[in-house]
Amino acid sequence: MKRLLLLLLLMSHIAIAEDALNIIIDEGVEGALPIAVIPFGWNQDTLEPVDMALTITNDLARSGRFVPMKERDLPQRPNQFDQINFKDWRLLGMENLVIGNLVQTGVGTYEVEFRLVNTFNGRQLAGFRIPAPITQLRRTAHRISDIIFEKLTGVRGAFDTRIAYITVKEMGQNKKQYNLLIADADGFNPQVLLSSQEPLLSPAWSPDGKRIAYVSFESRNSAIWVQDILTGARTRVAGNKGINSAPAWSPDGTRLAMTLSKDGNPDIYIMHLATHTTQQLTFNRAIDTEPVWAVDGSKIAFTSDRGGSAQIYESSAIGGEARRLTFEGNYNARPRYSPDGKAMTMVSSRNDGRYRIAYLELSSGYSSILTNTNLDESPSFAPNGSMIIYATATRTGSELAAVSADGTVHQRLAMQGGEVREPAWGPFLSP
Amino acid sequence: MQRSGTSFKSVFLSILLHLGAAALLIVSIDMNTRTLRQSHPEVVQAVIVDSKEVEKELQKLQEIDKQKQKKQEEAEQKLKEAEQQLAAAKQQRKQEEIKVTEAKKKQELEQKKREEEQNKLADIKKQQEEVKKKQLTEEAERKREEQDAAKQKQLAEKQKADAAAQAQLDQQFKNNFSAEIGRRVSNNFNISGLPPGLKCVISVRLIPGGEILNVSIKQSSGNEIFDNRALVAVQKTSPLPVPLDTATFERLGLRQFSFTFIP
Amino acid sequence: MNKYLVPLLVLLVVVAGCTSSKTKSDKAAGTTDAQPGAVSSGVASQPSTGMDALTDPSNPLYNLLQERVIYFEYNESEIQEQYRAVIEAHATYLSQNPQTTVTLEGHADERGSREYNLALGERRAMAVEQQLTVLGVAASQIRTVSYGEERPISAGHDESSWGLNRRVEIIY
Repeated sequence: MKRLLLLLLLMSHIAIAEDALNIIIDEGVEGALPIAVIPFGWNQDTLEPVDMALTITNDLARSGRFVPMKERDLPQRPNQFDQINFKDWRLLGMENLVIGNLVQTGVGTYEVEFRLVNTFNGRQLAGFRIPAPITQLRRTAHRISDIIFEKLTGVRGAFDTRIAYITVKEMGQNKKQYNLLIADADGFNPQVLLSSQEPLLSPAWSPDGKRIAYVSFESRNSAIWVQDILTGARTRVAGNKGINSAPAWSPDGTRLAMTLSKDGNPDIYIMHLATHTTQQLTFNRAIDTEPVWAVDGSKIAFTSDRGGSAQIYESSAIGGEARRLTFEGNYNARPRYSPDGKAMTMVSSRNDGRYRIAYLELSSGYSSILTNTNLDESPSFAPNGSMIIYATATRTGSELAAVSADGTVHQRLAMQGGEVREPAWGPFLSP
Repeated sequence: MQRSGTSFKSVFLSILLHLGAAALLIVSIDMNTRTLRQSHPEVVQAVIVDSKEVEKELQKLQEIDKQKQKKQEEAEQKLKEAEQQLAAAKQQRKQEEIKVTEAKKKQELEQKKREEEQNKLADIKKQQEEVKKKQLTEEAERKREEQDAAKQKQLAEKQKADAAAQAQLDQQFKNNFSAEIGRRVSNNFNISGLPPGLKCVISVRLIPGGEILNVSIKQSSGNEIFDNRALVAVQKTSPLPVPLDTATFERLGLRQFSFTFIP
Repeated sequence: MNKYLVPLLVLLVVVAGCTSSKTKSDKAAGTTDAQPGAVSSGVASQPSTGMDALTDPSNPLYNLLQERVIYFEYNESEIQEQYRAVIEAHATYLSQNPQTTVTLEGHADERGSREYNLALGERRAMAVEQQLTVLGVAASQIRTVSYGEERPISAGHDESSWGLNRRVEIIY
């Protein structure tokens, strides 16, 4: 009874005290989230087949949204939940901790177990056990990165995705080798889909991520091809006189928008892949090229110099009047819609001789330059819309880079293979 | 002696009476007193003066008799007469003595009566005095109470003023504290990628010294990530720069307060 | 306002001048039309040599025919006056050799987007093609292709490189 009274007294005291002070926090800081990924436990004496923690660490760092703790700074290396010394992590201001184990369960079979822990409240935010064959270990690490990313940012991760890109190698005697490749989003596991002595360009992922359309000059003129990634089977879908280029998949994957100049002037056409029949979308005497479908498939945006300089226009996917979308700068080209359909990225020049990546908010028409380089091209949204991958000229050629959609985070993506260009970020691999 | 004593007594009495009745009937009592004093001493004085003169005369006559035989008969006659006179005087004296006794008796009676009156008066006076004393006491008490009240009031006012000053200081401290804590928590509040328009209230419990004992979500934003970022922002700010002395800490209500996150 | 008025007037005069000079050059073209005829007759008068104008240094057209690159201004497909003689020489040659075909390869510098540059390269090639056909070359003798910015002559990221890369190559 006495105790209850005391409790009541205490509670009333608290109830009174509660309103004594209320501090309003009306601002915060923009910045990468701290996270520590502890090297995973490994149940064998041999070298682990994949450094899971390193793969995850690199993913998170590359996103620009996280600042992983350096391995040498880790105060402890727990692999189990009950080994975590929460106080140590709190003292370091490290709120997020990833621990895990890689276990070989048989010949070539593994099990990956991980936990994401908040060190301040000691709670587990996520925890999974994922069986994986050796070939899927790296992908499993990317999936873990995705889970962590989503748990801490609220945005679906795009680490378990792939990118397509073109590389060019000098082969001597004025010869070059053009390669079309796909790789994991972190640049690992590059696979050459096609090699040619003639230029390859404009890779475009089908919405299901199973095919890639591209432009090849192998027949001494531009032609559009569609290639199955898994089987390598390829089909030339457009090889007319003049330009055959800029393929863009409709969201349902049944059509390709493209640029053809078979009738004497580059215009936008839509090809039904089942029949290879085309219908002309634009009829302007200017250059109309670089079509792209809106997310819902109702509209097509493209580049046109009908107004005197290259600018971006948008028209209904069934044709009709085109509406100009860009008004800032003397050059805006190669649009790509953001996955939520609310924005667009493009190459933009603002009368300063620089060609940089811009972000256009469609509702307001407000656009901003995201990069600070001079010769950027081929911007492409990650499927979660968080990052834009693009190519930028270097002294010796070009390389891939990424910038966050708000322009705050910049990353350079070092890839093997000399000149790297025209990145295209593929769709989510899993539904 | 007797006279002065009587006089003293009467004076005393009169004074007493005067004092005693002063408050009641000033004029009448004054008159009575005067009457009493005049009548009684006159009687006593007359008797004593006469007897002495007679004796003196007698002695004178005897001396003359010796010297002048001629005049003896005359003297004897005179003596006789003197004796007669003496006898008469004696008788008179006797009578006077009786008178005196009676007077004395009367006096005593009167005295007694007076004493009784005096006692009565004294009692009245005593009563009056007691009443007065009581009144005085009460008055004093009232005064004292009034003084106390005034003092109390003054004290209260001073305390009030002190409290107001303290409250102002406290408020000032709270403002500074809020600003400082707000700044620190804001610096720990990572809003990257958070959707706009969210709000949550975090309750925090401290121990003296500023160490955070416990944080909890009092009002959720509905967005788990937002809530968690807010919680971490507060937790990372521990210990908070609270006043070092526990009394101030308690007075300012810093044991438990809240943060409203509304970036 | 005045600041722009003078240049504007100058521009108008220049345009007017151009127009008149164009009329003149049209007439001149008429005369040159006669000249290639004369040249062609000249060629015809020397068939015994068996030497092609492309390979015979003694041929009066030889030097002009060695000029096989037409350069362009940035984001432009208009052929500059200085290449008139070269194009006329190729037109003459192609007219005289109707069996000969030529490929016009349009190129752009690296600035801007690849696909737009592909279209720009084509536009340049077509500008040259149009000149040749105007000068009497059969459309069937000409093939155009655009490589956009894919085949630069110079790999530099500067104006001198870009100037070399904005071109149409005449390939026999």
